[in-house]
Amino acid sequence: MYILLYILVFPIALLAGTILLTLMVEFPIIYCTGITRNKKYIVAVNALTNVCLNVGIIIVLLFDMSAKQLKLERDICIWTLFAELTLIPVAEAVLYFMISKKSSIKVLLVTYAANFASFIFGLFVTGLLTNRGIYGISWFFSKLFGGFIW
Amino acid sequence: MVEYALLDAGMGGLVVILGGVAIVVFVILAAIILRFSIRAIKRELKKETEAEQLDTQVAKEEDIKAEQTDEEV
Repeated sequence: MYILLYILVFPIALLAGTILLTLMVEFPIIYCTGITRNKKYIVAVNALTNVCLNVGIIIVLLFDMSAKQLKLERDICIWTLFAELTLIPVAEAVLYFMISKKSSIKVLLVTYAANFASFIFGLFVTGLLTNRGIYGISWFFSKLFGGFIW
Repeated sequence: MVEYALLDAGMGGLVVILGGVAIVVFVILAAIILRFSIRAIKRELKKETEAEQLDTQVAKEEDIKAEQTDEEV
C-alpha cells in the first residue's frame, strides 16, 4: 500500500497539485485583467509551463543524486527562482501575445505579476508541506543564499 | 519515509526500482499533460484566427452593402 502511494502519489501530486495551485493564483489575475477571456487557453498555457518547471525539478534531482551532491534543496531553489522569474513569464507572455488584444507591455507586466504571485504562494505551500509553516519563504532564501555562501 | 524504512531493512535496490518507477510514471503523466495542453493551445489559436477572419469578412460585406446602398440612393 505504501509502495503504491510512493509510486503514484509522488508524480500525481507533483504534477496535478502544482498545476491546480498555480491556476488558483494565476487564473483570476489573467482573466480579470482581460488579457484573455479564453478559459481553456489559460489552463493549457499554465499546464504547459508548470509541467516544464516540474520536469526541470526532476532533472535537477536526478543530476544531483547521480553526482552525489548534498545541495539538492539549494539547486531546486535556484532552478525554481530562475524558471519563475525568467523562463515561465516570458514563455507565457509570448503565448498570450498571440491571442490577446491588449498592449504587449500590459501582457508582459500582468504575466510577470501573476507568476510572481504564484511563486510566493508556492513558497508558502512548500513551507507548509515541509512543516516549516510561514517560514517557507525565509527557508527558501536561506537555502538559496546559504548555498552560495557555503 | 518508505525509502528510509527500506534502506534500514537493507533493501536499497528496491528503493532504486521504486524511484525509477515513480520517475517513469511522472514522465508518462508529464508527456500526456504536455500533449493535451499543446493541442488545446493550437486549437484555441486556430479558433481565434478563424473568428478574426470571419469578423474581417463580415466587415467587408457590410462595407460593400453600404456602398451599394449609397450608389442606389
